[in-house]
Amino acid sequence: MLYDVTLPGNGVDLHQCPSCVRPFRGHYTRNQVDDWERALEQGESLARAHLEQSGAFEVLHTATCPLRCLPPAVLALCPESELRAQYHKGRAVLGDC
Amino acid sequence: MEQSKEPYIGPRAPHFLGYPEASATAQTVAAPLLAGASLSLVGVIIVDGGDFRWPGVTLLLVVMSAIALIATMQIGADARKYLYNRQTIEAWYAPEDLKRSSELLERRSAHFIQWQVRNRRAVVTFNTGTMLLIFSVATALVPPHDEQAAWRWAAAGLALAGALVEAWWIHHLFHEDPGGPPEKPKSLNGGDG
Repeated sequence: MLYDVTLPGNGVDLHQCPSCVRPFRGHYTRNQVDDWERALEQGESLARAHLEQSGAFEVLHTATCPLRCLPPAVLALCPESELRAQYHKGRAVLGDC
Repeated sequence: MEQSKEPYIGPRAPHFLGYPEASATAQTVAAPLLAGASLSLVGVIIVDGGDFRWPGVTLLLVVMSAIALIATMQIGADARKYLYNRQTIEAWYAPEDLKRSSELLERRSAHFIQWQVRNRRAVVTFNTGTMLLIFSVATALVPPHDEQAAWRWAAAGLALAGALVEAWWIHHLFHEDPGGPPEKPKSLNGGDG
């Protein structure tokens, strides 16, 4: 309690993968989710480029995490049903990544 | 074509499980106290403006600080309504209702994301408010004339040093390493496998 009150500042932007619960940092917006969807529609190479640029491979997922090929914005902002849909869309384009 | 199986998706939770409580304490205990201190300083400057070197600047900083801290309370309270756990759902709904509708748990997940987004705004206003308050205190301490000037300059310097420490701390909180993978939970039978 004393710690919370006396120390100034209050950190944010810490998320965790909903599947493997590994943490990652970043401030994300819905626009980034929309950008990912557009990249997916444009094909595999653009989707892979988007993944690379979004920092998806910097998130330290476990090796078997099924969500490791989704951008961090999707992991942070999509509720469960949307996340499942994103997973399937991603797999349809990128396979097992 | 390969049939993709359903991925495991767990419940949404903060990485540091104590974070919501720490955040709420900053917004409901620290922010009101600091906002009250800011408003008191406003009253002092209005009444005794001649005792300050830059009463106008100090007043501006302190009013901005008060606004930011009051905004913290309001935005934080608005965000808080989106944060609840499974126990809260179970307190409101009977088990048979929960079995019938998985929508409640899905909604909880969406609400948790909403809380994160809105709470971030409260955190930013809190950090802004505290920084502005320290700067306003520093400007208030600058001596208006030569009497006790050395002591007041020293106090103003200390306040500025405090502002620097605060800025560093905020930066640290926004960038600190969240740590590696979580430890494996202990087995409930005492670790025998």
